[in-house]
Amino acid sequence: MTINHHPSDFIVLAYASGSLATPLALVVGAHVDNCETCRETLELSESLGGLYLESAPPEDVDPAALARVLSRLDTPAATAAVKTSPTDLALDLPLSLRGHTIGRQRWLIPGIWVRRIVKGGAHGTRAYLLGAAAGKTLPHHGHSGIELTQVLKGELYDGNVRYGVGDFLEADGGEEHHPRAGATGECICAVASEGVPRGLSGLLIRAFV
Amino acid sequence: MDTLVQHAIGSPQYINWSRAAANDGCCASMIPSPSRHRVEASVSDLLTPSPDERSRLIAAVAQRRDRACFAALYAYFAPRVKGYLLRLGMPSQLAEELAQETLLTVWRKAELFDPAKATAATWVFTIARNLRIDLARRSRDTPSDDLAQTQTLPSPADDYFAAQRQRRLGEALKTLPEDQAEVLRLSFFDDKPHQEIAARLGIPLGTVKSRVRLAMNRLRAELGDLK
Repeated sequence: MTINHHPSDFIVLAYASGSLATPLALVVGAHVDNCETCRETLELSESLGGLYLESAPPEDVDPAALARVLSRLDTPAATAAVKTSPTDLALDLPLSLRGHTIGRQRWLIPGIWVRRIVKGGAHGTRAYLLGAAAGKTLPHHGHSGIELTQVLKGELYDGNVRYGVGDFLEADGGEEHHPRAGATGECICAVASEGVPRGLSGLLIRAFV
Repeated sequence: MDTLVQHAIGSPQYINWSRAAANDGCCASMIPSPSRHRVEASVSDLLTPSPDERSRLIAAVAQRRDRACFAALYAYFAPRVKGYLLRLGMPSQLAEELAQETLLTVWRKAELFDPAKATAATWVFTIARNLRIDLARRSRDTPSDDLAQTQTLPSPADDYFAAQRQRRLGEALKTLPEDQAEVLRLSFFDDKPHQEIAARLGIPLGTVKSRVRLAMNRLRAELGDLK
């Protein structure tokens, strides 16, 4: 699978530093999980993190804390649950998206459904799966913040530009774009957006996600 | 730092360690002189270990569950992790707790550390980073146990040892023009960087992204990465 469209270095850097809001980070993670190019950018970014950590002025830590930590060395860590994809989804989710409760399917307009991944919070940042039947244009909704899309199945066209499985669309706030699903079949994407989505479809997204 | 040394010296672990060190114990290879009365001066040396020494300390923890070497790692990294988290705007008490959790994870996952792939500082950074992410998500879903969550693919083979590469990266960083270095720094130290950096610098987000791309391409070129 050839990946042609990647997140910007800026987004990967923010992802690497842990400073992206959770919904956005999940969708970036979904891309990085399967992209060697971005994985290298991630490692470069993490190396920068190591440099910044080394150059951080050391802060005094509670001297008694060392003894407390030493006494905890033998306690085993809690084991995390095994992460799986939901069974009623027509694809295996990338690792970054597993382990999250995926909401049930809700129809936005005929041919287009959404399933909540992360509910819209204080800043309206949310993440959801979106499925579009072949040829359907994704509903037009303005958004004040950035919107990130990772293609999981099928293909999207933005104008004449094709986004296939593994490709990533990054749209800054205020950008107008009207992607449509390719003719080959259903297109499923992971989408994260910030800011309050406008218009009728925006209203529905706010209700469902 | 001095209180940490005093406390370390007073602890039972230190006393055992200094005996062991005198008899070629864990960190003896790093101590200039193995004699007992020189060991105290060397505790300070160990508190500022070099990058290579830091990697070896982690290896000692992985191989021998060596508590004295862990204490040396703690002395170096805990204050720096806390300092880094404070710069991110985390409250002091929380930063302190997260720093301790980070070192606890270093102990638990020491055998996962691969010195060929990353320096000790980079590895500890990713641990702290993942814990910070977990903190933000704790109300939502199960915490991520997987340190390697972002490392699902093997790296391409590297011709350089990680420490050498890190040194070159540090040099390359110094050659960046200030506006590029600044956006890199802000991307690391700001929460919600995409909202705030552009506003703070008074430039469009597109310009911020261009500067980051230029900076990263320059770093890639200096490191000899093909793109």
